[in-house]
Amino acid sequence: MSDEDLMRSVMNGDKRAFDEIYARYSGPLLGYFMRMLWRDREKSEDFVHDLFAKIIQKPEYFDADRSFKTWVYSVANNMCKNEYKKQEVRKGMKNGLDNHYSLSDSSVNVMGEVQDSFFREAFERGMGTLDEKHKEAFTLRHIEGLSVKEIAEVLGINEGTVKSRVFYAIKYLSEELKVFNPIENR
Amino acid sequence: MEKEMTDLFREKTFQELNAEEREQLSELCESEEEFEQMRNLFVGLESMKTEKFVPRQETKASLDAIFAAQTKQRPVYWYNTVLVVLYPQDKPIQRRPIVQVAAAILFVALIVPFLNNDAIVPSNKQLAKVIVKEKPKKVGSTIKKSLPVSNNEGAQIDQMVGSEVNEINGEDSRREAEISEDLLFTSNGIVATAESQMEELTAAAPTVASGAMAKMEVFDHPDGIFTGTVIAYSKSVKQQPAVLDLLTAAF
Repeated sequence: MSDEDLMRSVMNGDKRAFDEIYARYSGPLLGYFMRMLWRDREKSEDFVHDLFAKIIQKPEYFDADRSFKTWVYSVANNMCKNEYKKQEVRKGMKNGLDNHYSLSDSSVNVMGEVQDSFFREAFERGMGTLDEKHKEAFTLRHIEGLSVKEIAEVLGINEGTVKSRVFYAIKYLSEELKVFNPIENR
Repeated sequence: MEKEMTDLFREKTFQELNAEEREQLSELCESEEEFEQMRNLFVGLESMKTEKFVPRQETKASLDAIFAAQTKQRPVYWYNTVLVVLYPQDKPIQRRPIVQVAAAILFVALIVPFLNNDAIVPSNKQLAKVIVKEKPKKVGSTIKKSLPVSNNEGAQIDQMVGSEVNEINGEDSRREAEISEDLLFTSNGIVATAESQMEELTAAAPTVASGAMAKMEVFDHPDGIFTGTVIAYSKSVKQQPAVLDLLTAAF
């Protein structure tokens, strides 16, 4: 059953359909929020909760003619943007990323991890310093696995702009991570 | 295209790339150093993708509670469920069951009468029937019409009067007497008997009276009224001129 069919069932109050949607997207969305919100686990959990609560309470917001995947990521992306704006107002910073990076997931035992974990740390640090629009494009493309066309729908920009932003993010992150060599660590 | 590029980064070293692949990657990296940096990034990302994020149970429990509350506020009515089955919004209109059933009913309603055509034309060709109710004949007028109007019928009158006299002795003699009374003394009988006919009746009267003389001897009432003991018909008008006075008064 497609995501769109499941959402139609959710609109009719089908609990099993909602459970299936939750099973498919709760994990990826939590990971997306974690990456976009400075690996703040609590905040990411809250955002996942709020997003699915919106799906329950206002399922009619979803247009069945659209792809659910792009719709739900666009909602998630907008939630992140709102959070950035809140943080800017609160901290008086450009996007608050530097300040929030220290709120890393405490569940990750960095010291106990192998070399990949160092790379991960560096990657997250690099993502934290990356500009918001480039970060969201890169995350959606290379971590969440959306196509360029889907990203264009999520962000409301054309495909050329998506490719440009992704390319810039790759160049930036590869420069930031050049000291690490995960290939040799394998 | 871009997918293939990332695959190249993951699977090959710079030295393993052929000329065509290097040309393809030249948009992203111009040197071997840049290629290796990007390769490190994409290989590292692969390891990061294996990281699984699972929301806490509390989050799901809270959402279940919200869903239950929401469903309670908006109960699922049985007819909505039926409507979803009979009239699904996601199907073309001609494939919706309720439309198909309606079309079948319409088809049957329009076609079946023509298939059974004989039933429409009735076998009985008569379209209407006029029923004339016969009014009950007035005894007085009937007898009046049957009375003889000429001297040639005197014999018949005698026969009639004779048979009536014989019936007087029967069980229904009392009713017959009343009929005779009607004939002679009710207003209808007198009115219906026109003056032109009166003379004929008068002429025929002796003959009638002659047949009844035997009984009239014991009956002396001028109007021939039944007295309770003897039933008799009236006398001739000539014999009782006072009857004419009564008739004149009646007119």
